[in-house]
Amino acid sequence: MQRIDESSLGQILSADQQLRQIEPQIYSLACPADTDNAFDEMAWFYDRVICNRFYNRIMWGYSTADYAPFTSKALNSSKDGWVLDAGCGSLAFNAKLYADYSDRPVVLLDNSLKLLKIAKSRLAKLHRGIPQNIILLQGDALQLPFKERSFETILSLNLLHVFEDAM
Amino acid sequence: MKKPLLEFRRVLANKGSMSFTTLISNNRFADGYLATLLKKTCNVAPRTEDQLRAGFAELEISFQCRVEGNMAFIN
Repeated sequence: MQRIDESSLGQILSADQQLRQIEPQIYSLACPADTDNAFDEMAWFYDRVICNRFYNRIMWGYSTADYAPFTSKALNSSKDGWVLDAGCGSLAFNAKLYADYSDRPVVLLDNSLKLLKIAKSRLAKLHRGIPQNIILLQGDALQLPFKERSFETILSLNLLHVFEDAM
Repeated sequence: MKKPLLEFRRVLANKGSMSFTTLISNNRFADGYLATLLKKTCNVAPRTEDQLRAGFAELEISFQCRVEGNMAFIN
């Protein structure tokens, strides 16, 4: 079992980052006055409706069951190095996979603190506590707070469509 | 999309791998709803599969893409 903590996370963070612990295994890089996020306001709706399997099957025409093998393939793409899940949300689709995964250190990154807390709650229920190889981090996917070449595996579910193409 | 992709590529190890899912327009009844949703929440327009592929190709990111309904699975 890989264990990560504030110290090991600090090894991959850019030099100018101010890491704050929000609660055990949840950290933030946002300013204290800027921890609220647009998705915080709709966290419950996002988690219960947008991530609902029937909604996704009917509206978008795919099965949320496809996320498990897709994510599993990414997690098993290497035996070494860090894993980044950018825009992890509430882990509505992949909590079980992460709860059972201990091979490599994982950073679960999202801008919404409320969604990260829901994700932590999910992991805790499935794992009887948060796996020691996982840290939840509030941060911005557009300005990743990490050093170059820090991650062996990067996973990002349902995030790219919220960004425009212009630089 | 280019900005986050460039960020991902910056923090990715030399032989690392990236995997994404993203909603796209795909000639389905939900295309209009997707356009409205993205316009209202993020002020962006949905991409087609061709636009998605072009975006990755422009950044010289090798990838495979599978589409099911409005969802693209990229790795």
